[in-house]
Amino acid sequence: MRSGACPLVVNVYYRVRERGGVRGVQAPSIAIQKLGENECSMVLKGVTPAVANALRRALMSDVPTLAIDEVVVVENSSVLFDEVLAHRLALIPLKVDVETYEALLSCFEEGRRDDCVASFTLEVEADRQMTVYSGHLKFAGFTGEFSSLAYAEVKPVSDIIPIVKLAPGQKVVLEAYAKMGTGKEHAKWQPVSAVAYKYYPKVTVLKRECGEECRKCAEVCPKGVLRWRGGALEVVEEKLEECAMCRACEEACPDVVRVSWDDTSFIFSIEGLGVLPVSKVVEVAMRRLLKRLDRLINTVEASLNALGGGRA
Amino acid sequence: MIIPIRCFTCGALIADKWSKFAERVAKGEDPAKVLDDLGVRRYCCRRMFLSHVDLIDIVIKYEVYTQ
Repeated sequence: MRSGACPLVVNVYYRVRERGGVRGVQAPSIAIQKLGENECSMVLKGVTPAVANALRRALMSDVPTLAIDEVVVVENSSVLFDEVLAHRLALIPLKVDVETYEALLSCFEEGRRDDCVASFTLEVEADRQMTVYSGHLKFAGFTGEFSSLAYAEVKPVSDIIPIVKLAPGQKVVLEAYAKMGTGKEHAKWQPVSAVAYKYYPKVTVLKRECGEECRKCAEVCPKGVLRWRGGALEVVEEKLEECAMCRACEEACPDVVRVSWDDTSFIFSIEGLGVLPVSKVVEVAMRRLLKRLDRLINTVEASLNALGGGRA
Repeated sequence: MIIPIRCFTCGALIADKWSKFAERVAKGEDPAKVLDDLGVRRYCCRRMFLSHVDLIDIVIKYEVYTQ
């Protein structure tokens, strides 16, 4: 189990708690169930829905990434207008290695986003009908102080993203500049696609030996969470997390099954775009969230102190 | 016109899967099965493929290049 992000969540939570936050909830924890390059699912325990949602929102809209933000069109005789072309270029997810990312991130956080720019060129002329792909984009290095990052390479997540189709004789020549930004400004900067969570389901069988009549409670479940065997109903433990809490079983046999949920545990699923490893995305989201909490606490304390009353 | 780069709803990258999808569906395969194979699970992304008409192939014929 890898849980690099765990101490951070604990940290966020305890800060809230220390300052008179949430009571009566067990200590927060994260259990990672599946972690791939582009997907992650985990169970977040001992937090309130507000914390879970703060994490979700931070993941989607507060993790800076690189995306094409400025395009200089030298020549475009394709059927797409310049602005359509620029928009399509902007949406192409760009992959950076973690080391370069850290450098870009600190540059962005210092408010110097225009100093950390990755430039690309695209020059294609068609002699027969052809498609221009993201693979035709050539990385032309970083500008400014980042030109020292000579080894770093920024490239599209996939080389076969179609940008435009050209008829014979048509030509596209342009320069594109990628800058850092966050998802709240434009979706092109989002490092993840679908991020969702749900409460941890609790399915209780109230009457195990219920005979033939409750065979339908198991049959009606679309996810196979309930199993009926030899006249007895049981919860399939390994399928429990798939429960969508649709309550079809409750409807079929009202007095036999009870569906509820634990509102302090969340099953999180995160799907990345390949821009950064999802583990890194989670780490940065936590870090940024923590910084904002700090800023909030400091502001509140400062204004309380200014009133002369100290802590309320 | 041309397949959008990302899904309108969730923002997942879809454009890189279009040519394979179009090719296989043209051969008569069931679109649902092709999308499953390509790993397009959510219905927001699936409709991007199912409802798309690649008009650029038609438009491109009418574009006269003049210098």
